[in-house]
Amino acid sequence: MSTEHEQTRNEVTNHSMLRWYPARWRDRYGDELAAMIEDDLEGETPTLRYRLAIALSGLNERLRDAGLVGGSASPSERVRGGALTVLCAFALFVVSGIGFAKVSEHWDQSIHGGSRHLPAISFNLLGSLAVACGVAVVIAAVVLLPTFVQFLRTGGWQAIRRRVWWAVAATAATGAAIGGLAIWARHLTNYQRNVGLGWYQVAFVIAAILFATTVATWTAVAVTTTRRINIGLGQLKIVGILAISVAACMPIMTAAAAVWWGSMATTAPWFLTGTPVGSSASPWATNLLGVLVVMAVASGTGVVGSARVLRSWRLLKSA
Amino acid sequence: MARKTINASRQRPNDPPLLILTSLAGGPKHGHALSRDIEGFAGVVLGPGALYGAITRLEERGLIEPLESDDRRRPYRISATGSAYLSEAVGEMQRLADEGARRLAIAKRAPVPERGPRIAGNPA
Repeated sequence: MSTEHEQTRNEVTNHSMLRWYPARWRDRYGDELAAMIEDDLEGETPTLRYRLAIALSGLNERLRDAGLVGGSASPSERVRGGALTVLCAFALFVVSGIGFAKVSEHWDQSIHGGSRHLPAISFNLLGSLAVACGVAVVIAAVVLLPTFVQFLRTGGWQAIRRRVWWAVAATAATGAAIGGLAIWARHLTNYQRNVGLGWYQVAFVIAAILFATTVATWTAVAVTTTRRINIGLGQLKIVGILAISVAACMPIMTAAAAVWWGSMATTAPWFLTGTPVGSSASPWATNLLGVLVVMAVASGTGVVGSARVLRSWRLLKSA
Repeated sequence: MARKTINASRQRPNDPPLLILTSLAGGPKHGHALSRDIEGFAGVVLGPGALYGAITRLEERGLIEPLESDDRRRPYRISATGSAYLSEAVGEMQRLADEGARRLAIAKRAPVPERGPRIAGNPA
């Protein structure tokens, strides 16, 4: 009885390891791999190293399946994969951008005269490019809209239903958290909102995490959908150009944020530490550093995605 | 569309694809049998993840073919393209091995200088 139980448990463990692989790969090789794992382990429980090796191989197959690595995917799949990498990078950039917006809130009230020139230019450049990138993402969505409608009409809803519900739930939770926070903030002083009230800070962090979750879940919906719809060559070219444009903007925005930080550290360091105007203060701000690191990571990821698009572009034309 | 050129000369002897092709050159095998055979002739242990990753790539490139099977343990065989590829890779490795052996033989025959060479213009 215990042997049967152990056997069943091992089979469940072996099959659970296959979850690291994409569904398409599992449909083709899943049974074979499960059989090989059974033969390989001979009833023994897999070690952590063994599981890790399977997980890494599975993740590698997922990246290949999404057209993100390897040359086995078709040029159109690679362009699509590269564009989706840029989309994911931009989603991460949006989260860090919201963080930057919070950190830089009312910055223009803390300095006056000619010293405002450089921070204003860098801040406005960042804002303008962020709007341009947002418009690019909307245009890409509009270009793909007819294909998306067709996808839903042919039963595609089943494939994305779970992710959409997760995204809707995250959006509702974020809306409730931000709404509650806004109502609470009306009854607090500026000092209480920024440093004085610990519980408000905790609630703010929770709302920020929920916002990041909402962006992540909707991005997951977009990725799942875009990977499943049949995109025409013309649509793919437009999406590819938009992805390259967005990827090009992200490093510029990161540099603009860094310039803004540098110029504020020089002219108004008290703003970065929240100390009174004119006081001496350290130019270092941990939260701003965190924001810039995330922006840099997002920019790097975007560049990798756009490079994937560019490398496959010539093949796409000749395909 | 132009086919991607397969460059067999870039392969190393311990590359999983080359090991799999070498194993299948001896006859069709399924995953576990392949792993055992490769461990036997090359001393390389290929885990299921690495093995099936390589099998996927080889099948995509048409170098191996799956055989019909009622069992979950599906056997694979080397294709004609796979045989040509393996032949080219083995030939390349053979040329490298011959060249290495030839140069080693020359080095063994050559007298070893006791001191380093004099540099022209350098006063002794």
